[in-house]
Amino acid sequence: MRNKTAKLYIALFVLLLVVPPLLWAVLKDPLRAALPDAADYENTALVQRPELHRQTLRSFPVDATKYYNANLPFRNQLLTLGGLTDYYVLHSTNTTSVLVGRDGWLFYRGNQANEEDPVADYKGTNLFSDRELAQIWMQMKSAQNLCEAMDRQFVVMAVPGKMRIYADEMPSSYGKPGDGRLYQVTTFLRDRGIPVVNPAETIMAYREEHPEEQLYRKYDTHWNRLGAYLAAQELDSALGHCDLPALDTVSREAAPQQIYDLARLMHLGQILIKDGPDGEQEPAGYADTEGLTREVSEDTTEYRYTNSHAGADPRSILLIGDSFAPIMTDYVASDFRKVTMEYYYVYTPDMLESLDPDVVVYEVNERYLMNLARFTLTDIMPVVQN
Amino acid sequence: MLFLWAALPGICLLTALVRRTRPQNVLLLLISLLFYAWGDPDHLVLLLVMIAVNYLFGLALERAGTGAGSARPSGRGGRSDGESGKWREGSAAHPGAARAVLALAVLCNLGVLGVFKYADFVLGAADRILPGGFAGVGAGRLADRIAQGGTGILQPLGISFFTFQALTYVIDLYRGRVRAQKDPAKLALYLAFFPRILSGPIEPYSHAEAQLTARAVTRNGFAEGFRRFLYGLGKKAILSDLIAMSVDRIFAVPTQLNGLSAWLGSALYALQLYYDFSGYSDMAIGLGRMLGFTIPENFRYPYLSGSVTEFWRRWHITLGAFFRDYLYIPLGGSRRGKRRTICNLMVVFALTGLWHGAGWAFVLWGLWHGMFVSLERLGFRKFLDRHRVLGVIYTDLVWIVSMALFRTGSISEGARTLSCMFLPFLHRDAQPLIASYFSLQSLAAIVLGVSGCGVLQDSACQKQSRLSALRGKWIGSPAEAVYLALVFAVSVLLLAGNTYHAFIYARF
Repeated sequence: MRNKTAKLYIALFVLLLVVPPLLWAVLKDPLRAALPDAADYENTALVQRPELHRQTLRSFPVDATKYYNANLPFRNQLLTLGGLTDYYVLHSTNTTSVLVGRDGWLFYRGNQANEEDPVADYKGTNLFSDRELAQIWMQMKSAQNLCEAMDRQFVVMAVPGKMRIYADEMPSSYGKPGDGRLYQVTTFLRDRGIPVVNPAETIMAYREEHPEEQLYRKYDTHWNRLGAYLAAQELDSALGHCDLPALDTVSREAAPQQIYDLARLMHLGQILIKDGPDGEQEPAGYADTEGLTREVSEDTTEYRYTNSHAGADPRSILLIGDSFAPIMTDYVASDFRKVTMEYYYVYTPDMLESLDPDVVVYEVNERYLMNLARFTLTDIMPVVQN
Repeated sequence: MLFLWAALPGICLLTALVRRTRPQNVLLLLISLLFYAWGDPDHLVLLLVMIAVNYLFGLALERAGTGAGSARPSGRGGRSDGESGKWREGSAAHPGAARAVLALAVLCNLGVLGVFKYADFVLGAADRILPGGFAGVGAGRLADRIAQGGTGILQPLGISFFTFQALTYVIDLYRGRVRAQKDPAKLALYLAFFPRILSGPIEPYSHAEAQLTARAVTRNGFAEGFRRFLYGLGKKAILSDLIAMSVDRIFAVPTQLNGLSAWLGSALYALQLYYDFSGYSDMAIGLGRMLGFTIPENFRYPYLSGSVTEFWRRWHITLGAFFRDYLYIPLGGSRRGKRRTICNLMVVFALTGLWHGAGWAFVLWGLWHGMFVSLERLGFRKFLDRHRVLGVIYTDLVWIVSMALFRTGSISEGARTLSCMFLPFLHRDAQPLIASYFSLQSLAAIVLGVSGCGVLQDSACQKQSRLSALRGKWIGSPAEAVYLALVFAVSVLLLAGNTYHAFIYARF
């Protein structure tokens, strides 16, 4: 190697390995203020600086490495730069759980640790076996029997995944959707007398009629408020009382801006913030919401609604669900006197006694349909997701 | 990132400040021990004990007079005896005592390896062989522990590497090829040197001896080392880790594996493994060079090999050399007839497999390679020599098929993958969506990986080729430096995004 080149490599060593951490150590605060997206939106502050003493000798290296990585010089800028390159330049990501679709749509491709496989759900390549269906049937029938013994109605709600509703935004290499578990389990349970609400067809029909409106969030796993409204209509109709007017007849108003989960997974939570041409929208004036009150528990796992409106159905609803349920329950609540929404992993059997609902709804998202085989009203359900 | 942005600049600064070899050895030893403790604090004491024990064995061997008087002056390379196929036994003053010390030293090193790496494997095998298992011979508690998953002994990081290095020291000392190391810091540094303690290369003591006494950190050496380190970093952080994402997806749901995906997964895993391990080796060699050491090469484009025999001379070269010099040749090598040669080869490859992991799957994996090397020794090699392209395809296929066992280290899982590969009609129910295994990034890494695993470099090494002229201009050019700066930037972006996979060979 020539002397000049050797000097160049030494300069590179200093520039690449010495300058960045040194610069960050000396000018951390001004750099944070000057550079874009230095917000600590990953809760990295939660990683404690480890202390070295006799008791922590063994754990210190791992803790110190975690602390350093959480406080890596230029961490947010590096992550954001990586996310921007992936999203805008490559239109693809190496984030394991996100898939970049057409027109910048993001899809959740699942976390294999949680038994979830949205791509297989979408393609219909992971249909339930007879044994799994029998297990699902046993759990659902037990829940239905328990409810009927106490003069309660039991309803299952199966929420379609975003890939299914926005199949046209999936990369073309993924092909068309298959029927999948969603339709398999819907038909299976309905044929055996368990009522199942599956709003997939309603949502897709509305999409076809109103292609200009967005029903699921572009940068998030979930439906938006318009999609949730359509699902609430479907559920309320199945329960025999729906005063919610047709979605295309109600007006819209701006809803609070969100940080979208898939954008966050790509480290673009502060960048991809405008979801849809008009931003986050919600239906307005669909019901007389005077007299409708909502209480949310501190940990946001429990939502309690009371509705004193005269036209409200006097029955009380207990909705046990996942992250799709909260915004849908806002609309369900306008049709019933009392609605309680509990995340399935905080539900305990004593709630059934204390709330004394007339209707129990178990809502489950397409990618967690396997939870049907574990669901029980008489015990605490094992946590598999979130 | 902690290593890149905190440890490495600090180490370089300190070694630049402490330039004299002896204090620098002590400094590098302390750094190496800290590095080891950082990765495996529980076994630092074991490493120190192994250093002390081998140091004492070395002194005892010298006292027994083993070849000390006739040892050649220590130097690099030092395998000329091995090349001739004949070992020069030491001129021991007390040959019986020397042999006993050597036997004890080998037993001690292999015993530690056996306890910490193979205890569960051996006990599990014994439990199956004994009539009624351990419970049947009154060792119920042991049987219970085996049933519950084993003894609970954790494998120390890098144990296979530092144990083998220790063996080269005591055996070479016995053979009179080196002198006993009187300075404990030098021997300790040889065994614990941080760039190679986790995943090699396995450096014989005869190769390292001179460098422990005299070496120089030069500007050119530092620059060349950093250049090599950057290539290694790129291989690992960009190619291997991105390819790993596709491999992980392919094998994530075993029931979704069919013929195509099993072949694809195994082939890509072969690519991932190459870039992972050769990337690590490049970084180790580069770091060594930056600190004034010359660490032996470990890879020479193995996927261009025209036979399995040649493959093992290009893949993990230092492990192959260890088994050749310290096992195959002492067993008689190829000098005792065909039958004995084949037998020796099978022993060597069974142990090569076992070195990689304590399980029957790894033994089978080794025997699989031994079988092909034996076939080649029996005459198939002549055919392969005449048909080079066919030879390369055959060699790579043998390797790819073996990845089914190697990846999982489990016979049942490996058998499932092999069944998908060779009996795809039994797995028609599985309908994996191949496109979902890849991102643009992993596809780009695969394309770069395939084109970078030898074909281009090999033709660039051919004299008078156009690529050769380009290669001459490229190496050491400012353009290459800029390219490597970009490689570093992309690597940092990926490492910050947590795409990092642990080094595969560190678990051996």
